[in-house]
This record gives sequence, structure tokens and C-alpha cells, in this order.
Amino acid sequence: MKYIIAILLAACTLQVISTVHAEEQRIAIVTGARSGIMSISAKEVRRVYLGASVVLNGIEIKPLLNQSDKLAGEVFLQKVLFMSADAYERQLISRSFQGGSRPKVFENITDLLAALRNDDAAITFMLHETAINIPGIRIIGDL
Amino acid sequence: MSALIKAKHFFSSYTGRMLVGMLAIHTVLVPLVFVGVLLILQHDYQSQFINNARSQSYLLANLISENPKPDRIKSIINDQLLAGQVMLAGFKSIDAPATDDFSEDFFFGQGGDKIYHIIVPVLGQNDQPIGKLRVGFDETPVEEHIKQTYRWGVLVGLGFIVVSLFFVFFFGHLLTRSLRQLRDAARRIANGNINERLVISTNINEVHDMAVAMEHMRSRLVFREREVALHAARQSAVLDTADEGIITLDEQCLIQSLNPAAENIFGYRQEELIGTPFSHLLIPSEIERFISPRGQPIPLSHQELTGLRKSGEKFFLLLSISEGNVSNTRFFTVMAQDNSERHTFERELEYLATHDNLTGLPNRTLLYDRLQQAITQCARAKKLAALLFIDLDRFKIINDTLGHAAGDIVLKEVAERLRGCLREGDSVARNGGDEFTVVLPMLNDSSDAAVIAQKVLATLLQPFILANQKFSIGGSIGISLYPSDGGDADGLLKNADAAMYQAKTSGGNSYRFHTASVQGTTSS
Repeated sequence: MKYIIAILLAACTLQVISTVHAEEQRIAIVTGARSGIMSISAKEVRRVYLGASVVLNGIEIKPLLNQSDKLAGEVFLQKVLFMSADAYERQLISRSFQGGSRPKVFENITDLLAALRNDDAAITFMLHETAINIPGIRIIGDL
Repeated sequence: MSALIKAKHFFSSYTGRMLVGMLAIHTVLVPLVFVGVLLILQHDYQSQFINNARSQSYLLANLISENPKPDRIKSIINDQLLAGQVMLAGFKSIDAPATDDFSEDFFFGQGGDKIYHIIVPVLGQNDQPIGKLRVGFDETPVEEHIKQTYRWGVLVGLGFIVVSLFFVFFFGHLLTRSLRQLRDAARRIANGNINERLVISTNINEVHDMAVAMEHMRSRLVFREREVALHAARQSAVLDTADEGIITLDEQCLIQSLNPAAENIFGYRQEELIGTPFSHLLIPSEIERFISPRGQPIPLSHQELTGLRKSGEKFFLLLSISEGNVSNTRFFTVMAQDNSERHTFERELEYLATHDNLTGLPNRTLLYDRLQQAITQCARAKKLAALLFIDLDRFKIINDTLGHAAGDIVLKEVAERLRGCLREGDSVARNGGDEFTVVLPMLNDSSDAAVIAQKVLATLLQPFILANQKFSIGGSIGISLYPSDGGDADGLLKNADAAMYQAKTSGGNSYRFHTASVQGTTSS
């Protein structure tokens, strides 16, 4: 039932969103300001979010899923992971069964930022225009 | 029955209500379930489309990045366009001027142009972006597929409702069959077909239990009906064989029922009297004795009234009226008895008590009464009354020689002759044996008594024919007069008896007045 209600709400959201084309969106990969990770490539981001282990500057990257912004999520899926949300979910489940770990999910931006600031290995994604206005984080990739 | 009434009847039935209930449930649940399923399917189709579009764009970008020469890029793009799903595609080098008017979609249907636009970065060696691949995927097939799914969903939903309703109707009809059997059985019982055993074949426990209970009720009814019939037959037999007429009346005094005895008493048939006023069976002057001014019967016990038969004959009717109440309805029961026979019997008894059985003449008791009346009458009128005490002469000879039967014949003949000698208003009685008494009221003179006495003596001297032989007897008469010989019956009888004795001792066939008149004795 919850699922059906969620779908109905999503359908309503889509209806609103579908009225206009979005301008070309840029996705930013960010980390905490004190993090030692300086940059990351699109392929590395894709690998780490698909469950593979990526080490940069001796730090094993911990991906955080930002679900506080639905548009950012879709842009990330389209431009970085090249799959739909359902396909990504199936991929994560598949990886879980193979012994991999799922990225931690955050539905609240405050909690997400706190996690970024507290963990130097943590990275996440958000819209570029959002990221540049948030203090305490650093953009390490612009996709 | 009109269609509307039929429909109303159907929807009042168990099956109809199940049908309506199921329809109501389906009206809510089926759209909810099917819309939910269709939304999931829609989401799934769109998600698959987006996934295909994104992965295909990624593959294209990778393909281009392997050898990003313009001719090759153009060839790849043309191949994609020829395949059909990609409606528009283009590559823009990173060095190209920023004349970007190409929008991007992230959700299915975004923009409303039925094209899903994607911009994918094309990476060169060292993962550095060398340009952007812009691809537009046609959303129409997916939209058509979704619409088709919706159409099928609606059809399947409607089909589901129809089939469900059919099954509800079918099973409702099946489930209520035993109930209808029970209903029919109850109707048969109500119509009087109470002896038919109630058998319902059902495997529904509740209905089976109800059928068993109804069968038990029916058997009890049969038993009670037989008891009631037996009781009614007994009551009817009692009524039919009762000697008393039994009539029931309503509050308006109209006859409701009567038994055969009542028919016999009044001479009517039952159908002639039902519904008629009971007052028709009595003489009008006595109606108020048993009907109140409000026209209702008055309860009474053993009252004698004058009944009226169909023939118009009046008779003595002994009547009792009692009030009853059944189911808050008052009624009255009349017990009627023809009292005529009793009256006749009483008259006969009275006659026997006051008359001589052999001659039919008044006996001594009645004589005494009449003598008293004569005394009273004469005292009032200041007249004389005479008492003639007659004793037959030679009667004993007839009795002894010819027997008592001959003596009885003589006594009867004497009685007739004495009657013939008397005036109107005179009385003659037989005292017993061969003694007779004559009361002569309203005399002016004692000689009037003497005249009668002579007349009596003369008639007694007339011969009696017995066994073809003539016999002559005679009589001795003693006469006492009121008031001179006594003021009461006893005195007059005593004196007349004494005078008769004098006449007898003087040879008979003569009369004597009481002492004061002895000198006036004459002989015939």
C-alpha cells in the first residue's frame, strides 16, 4: 500500500516536473572540507557507487547516497551510473548478495552533510548549483 | 408481476443482497487493485525505458570515445537513428561554441514532447571529457504500451466484476435453495398440508438445524391438531347429545350457534336461526327479562319464560344465560329446556292429589277446599250453603256378589248421575268407599237443598245394569247447612255425617237435615 501511495505521489510529481524541460544539469561530487580526497573521476565515482572498492590517496572511498534531492538523484543516475533507479536498486541488491556493501542512504541533507564532515572518506553527490552554496564541503568532481 | 416488483423482490432476497454487497465491494476494491497494479506496471515500463535509454546512451558514448572521429561519430549516430528508437542524436565537441539550446530530461514524459532527452559526457583518454553526446529517445511506444495496458486492465477489471457477480449469483442461488425449500415447506404447512414430512437435503449446518427444528415443530403441530380435533369432537358430541338446548349469542344477542336439542325445542333448523335475534324465540312481552336496554343479553339462572316455536306454539321455557369471554370477545351461552312436560306432570300430580282416581270426582281434599270457598262466598253474600253427605245403600251387596270391578262400575255411574243432578257452581266429591259429598253454595233457603237431595235420591234409585241384570241401590243423605249447622268445613262435615247416619239408621233411601231439621225428614 505504501508502495502504491509512493507511486501515486511520484506520478503527481512527474506531472508537475514534466511541464518544462530541465536545463542541462551538472552533478558535483563532494566530500568534507577536511578530507584528503582532492579529486575523483567519473569512472571512479561509477565504480564506487556500484559497490566496487576504490582507494584514493590511501583512503578507501565511502559513497553516501543522497536521496534528499530527487532531481539530483536522477541526474546522478543518468550522467554517472547510466541506469534507472530501479536498475540501480537491483544492482545494489545483486552486489549485496555477492558480499558487497550498499552505500548508506540519507534522506535528510543535514544528516548527509554531518556524515560528510565527520568522515573524511565519505563522498556524495548533489547538484552543482547546490554544492557551491554549502559551506564545509569540497567539490572533488564536476560531472 | 411487473419487472419493477420482480426486481424489488429479487434484491430483497438473500441472493440479491449478496449480489449488491459484492457489487459494492467490487466497485471499491477492483478499481483500487487494478489502478494500483497498472500504476506499478506503468512505473516499471517507464523505469525500463529510462534504464534502456541511459545504458544505450552510455554505450554510444563509450563507442564514440573509442574513436572520436567526425565521420565515425556521424556513422554511429546515423545507425542509431535508422534503428528507430533514437529520434535525434548529436555530438558536440568540448571545444564547440556554447550555443546550447538542448534541454535534458530526467523523468519519463518530462517536457511533454514525447522525447526523452539525454546529454551524456563523452570521455576521452585519461577520462577527460571530449564532448557531449545528445540523444533523444522516442517515448511514444512506451506510452502506447502503457495505454494498451490500461485498456486491458479496464477490460479485465470489468470481466472480473462480471464473472464475480455471476459466481455470486450462482452460489447465492445454490446456497439459498435449501432456504427456499424451507420456505415452501412452511407455506405448505400454513396451507394445512401439515402431515407432509419436512425433508430438506442440505449440507449447510444452520439450514439443516433449522429444518430439523421446523420438522419438530410440524410434528408437534400434528400432535396438537389431533388433540384439538379430538377435543372438538368430544365437545361436539356432548353438544349434539345434550338434552338441553345450547345456544351461543354474541353481544348483540344474535344467535351464533345452537345444538340439535335447541333445534328440536324451537322447531327451527340451525341455518334458519344463525345470525337471527334470539328474541324471536320468546314472546315479545318477556324479552326485557333477558335483554338489557342496550340490547345485550342479561345473565340469568333457571328462569321460566314463555318460548315460541316455529309453529307459533307457546311453551314453558326454562332458561339460563351465562357470560363468557374468548380472546377478548364476549359471548353468551343460553341453556334452554322445554318445561312443558314438567308442567303437564305437575298438573297431573295435582289432579291426582285432588281427585278420585276411579270416578274422576274431586276427592275429600278438594271438597274441603271448595267447601271453604262456598262458606266464604255465602258469608259475603249472606246466603246459605248446604253440604250433602251421601252414602250408597246396598252397595256392599254388589261388591260382595259381583266383585269389586262391578262395584267400581256402579261407583262411576253414580258419579255421573250425581253430576247430572247439580247446578252450575255446585260440587260433588267422592270421600272414599261408597260415600259422596255434594256442596251447594248460594242457597236462599234450606228447601233448595232438600230439592237437590230428593233429586239425588231419585237418580240413585234408577236401576244399574250389571252383567245383564238390573240392580237397584239407593242412598242415605245427611244435610248440614251453613251457617246454622256450622261456621266451618269441619263442623259442616261432621254434622252432615251425623245426619246421614240418622237417615241410614231410619232405613235408608232418605235424607235428613242436621238435628235442628230432623223433623223435616221425608222418605221417598
